[in-house]
Amino acid sequence: MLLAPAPEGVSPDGWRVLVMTVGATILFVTEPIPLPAVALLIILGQVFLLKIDSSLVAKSLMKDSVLFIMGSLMLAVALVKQRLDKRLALLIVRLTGSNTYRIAFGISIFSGILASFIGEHTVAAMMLPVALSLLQLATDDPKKRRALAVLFLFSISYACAIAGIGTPSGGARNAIMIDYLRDFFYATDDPATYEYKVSYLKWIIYAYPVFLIQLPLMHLILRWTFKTDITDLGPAVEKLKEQVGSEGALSGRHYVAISLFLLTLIGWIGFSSQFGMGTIAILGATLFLVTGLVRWQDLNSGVNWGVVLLYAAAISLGVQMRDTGAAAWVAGLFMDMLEPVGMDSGMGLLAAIMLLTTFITNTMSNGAAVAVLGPIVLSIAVGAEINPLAVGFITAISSAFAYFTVIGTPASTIVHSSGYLKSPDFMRVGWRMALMSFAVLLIASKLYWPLVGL
Amino acid sequence: MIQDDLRLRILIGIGGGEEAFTGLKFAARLSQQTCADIALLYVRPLDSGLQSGGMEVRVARENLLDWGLELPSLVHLRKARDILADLGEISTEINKEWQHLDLSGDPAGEFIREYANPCGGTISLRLRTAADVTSAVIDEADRFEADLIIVGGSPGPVNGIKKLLTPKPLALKIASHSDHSIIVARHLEPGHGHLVCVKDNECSRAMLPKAVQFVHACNCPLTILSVAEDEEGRESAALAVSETAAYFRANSIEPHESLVKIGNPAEIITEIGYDFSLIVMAESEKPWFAKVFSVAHDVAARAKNSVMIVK
Repeated sequence: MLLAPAPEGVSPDGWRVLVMTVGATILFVTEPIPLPAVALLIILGQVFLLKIDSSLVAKSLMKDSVLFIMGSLMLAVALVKQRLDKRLALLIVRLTGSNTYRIAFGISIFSGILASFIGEHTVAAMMLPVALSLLQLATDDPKKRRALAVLFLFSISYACAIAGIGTPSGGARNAIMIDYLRDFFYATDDPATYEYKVSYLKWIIYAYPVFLIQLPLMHLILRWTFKTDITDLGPAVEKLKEQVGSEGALSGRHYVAISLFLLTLIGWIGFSSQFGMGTIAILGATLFLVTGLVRWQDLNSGVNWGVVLLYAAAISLGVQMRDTGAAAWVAGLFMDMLEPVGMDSGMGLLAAIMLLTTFITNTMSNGAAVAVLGPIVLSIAVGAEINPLAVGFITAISSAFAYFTVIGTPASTIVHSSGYLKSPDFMRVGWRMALMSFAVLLIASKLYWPLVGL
Repeated sequence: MIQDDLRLRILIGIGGGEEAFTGLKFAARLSQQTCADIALLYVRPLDSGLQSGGMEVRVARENLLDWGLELPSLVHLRKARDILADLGEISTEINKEWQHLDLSGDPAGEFIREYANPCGGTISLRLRTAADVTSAVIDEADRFEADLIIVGGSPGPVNGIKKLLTPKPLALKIASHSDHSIIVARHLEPGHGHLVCVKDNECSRAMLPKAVQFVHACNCPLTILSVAEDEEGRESAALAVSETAAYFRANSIEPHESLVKIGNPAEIITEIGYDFSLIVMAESEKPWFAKVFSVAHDVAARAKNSVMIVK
């Protein structure tokens, strides 16, 4: 492909960037080589194929979104290490009682609300033992236990997935899209572009209601799809209370951890426009380290630094997609495909972008999907004269609709590691979830977003 | 008491689905005759950091351990252990703890737990973490110096377009790459006899000592089959059958039946072999990438019951 002449309408550099993007995407999905090696290849490709100065390439790797990914991953490990999950389990069963479906909904609510602020992998890792403990205490019958497991584990993973779009700190994809919007459209000397610098609060206003509406609908779908014979977990709940209760009340260490997390949250809401979300996340992680709540060794072994590098390289490549005109060319092709079916403008275009993102996000992680698609969909927005903010939100939110595959979302990968879920389970419930999410997002974009100025 | 060097060493791969568990009963049968050392192995593929959003899944696994919960893979191994205990192979009263082995540096990665068999053999439960399950099973078989690997096969043959679209089943991959004798287990119920398939060639003769060892160990009825592709090959097939029967008789095993057939070897062996516990065949001399074209591996792929490839 590199040796082939560039097609009409795209520059030679743009063509090279496209080839690199296609190659990187194939490598993301198939993983024939270690993922950090894909990142290194992207960096080398920019220097050798695009002839960009290596200092500029290095500079393009470190953005606020990358700092945010680093910081939030360290915060995730730090929070999991505090062992607050047992208290959380106690709180959930105290509030829900012993009815199985109420517990499942309680798990969803807590998972969702937490995942909307601290990243779904954190919550999934914390909630997984809660669910597994209840299962083991509930029954020894493998069939009944699996039926219960499917209900509880999807209650965690899907709640985390739909919640991750609620706030910018809910997932890497949101931070990546915020960075793209700012890089592509924001200019310090043009007040008309200030709206593209999306603040933490502004994101919440647009996205959080979409999560809140989906949450009860998700529970109904799970309840309908995965019925269980065990409708009361009274004895299991009592045993869990005994087990967790024997560890005593929250200690000073727990209070410090909770305070630090709340401080980080306040920092994101109040100061991220000024200092950047990444800086606040790094500050939070640093505070956990200096107060001795977590060891560097734990952070070092718990965070996959190669993934941070991969996101950095993917975002850097995305910027090249825009600068070389490659993104605009692909956007034009996409629009040409949509024109005959009348989906090249308005709601039709938003629906098409949503479907495209849903397809891509089911084949790779949602952060990578947004990193790859971001430049293209924002170019589509420019070409179709649609508000890029709406397109950006549609893309970021629909990147959460990775209901069909294990690898679609971090939370799904983590709950799948329990060994209870099988790939067909995801397909069985995934299409129902996807239809529900499509409907909610389209209705929100048509009816709710105009009310709040989008 | 059986000497250590005479003991069969059997590695059973758990995790390939329910079929792998059917191999346990067969292994127990072998063990009753030879007091085998049995290793139960579960290989968990390495996690991809991207799929878990950059936070290692090991953080979640360590959290499970903190809660005192067993890792999912250990649950599979425990199930296998319970089956062997029910079969009288091990006593669960001996409460040994899991020991962590530092092979990959993952604290939730490799574990081993050993039990003593009442006759003096050992039963070990092994958990491995590896990027490639096939390589890990073969590596563990090398470390364990296994005489026999038992892995669960797909319950039925995969045909048509599905065969082209789906990746090669794990059991067949292991069978192609391993230097150890292997059973691709499907409904592996001992007691229905062994069908030993032979040809008039060196490969077939070379497998006979091990075939004798396994038939002795199983104490199962023996049938010998040789399939010629056409009438011209009938004489050669008959010779292979008679030589094999003589070899087994010389080793105190009286064959129940000797058969010579004409036709497609893989089809006939699969058809006749369906009534047996196990179809026993010699390994092909072809390199690993061409083994799929050999009769033994073709039978292993298309059979609905268990196939042993003797190496």
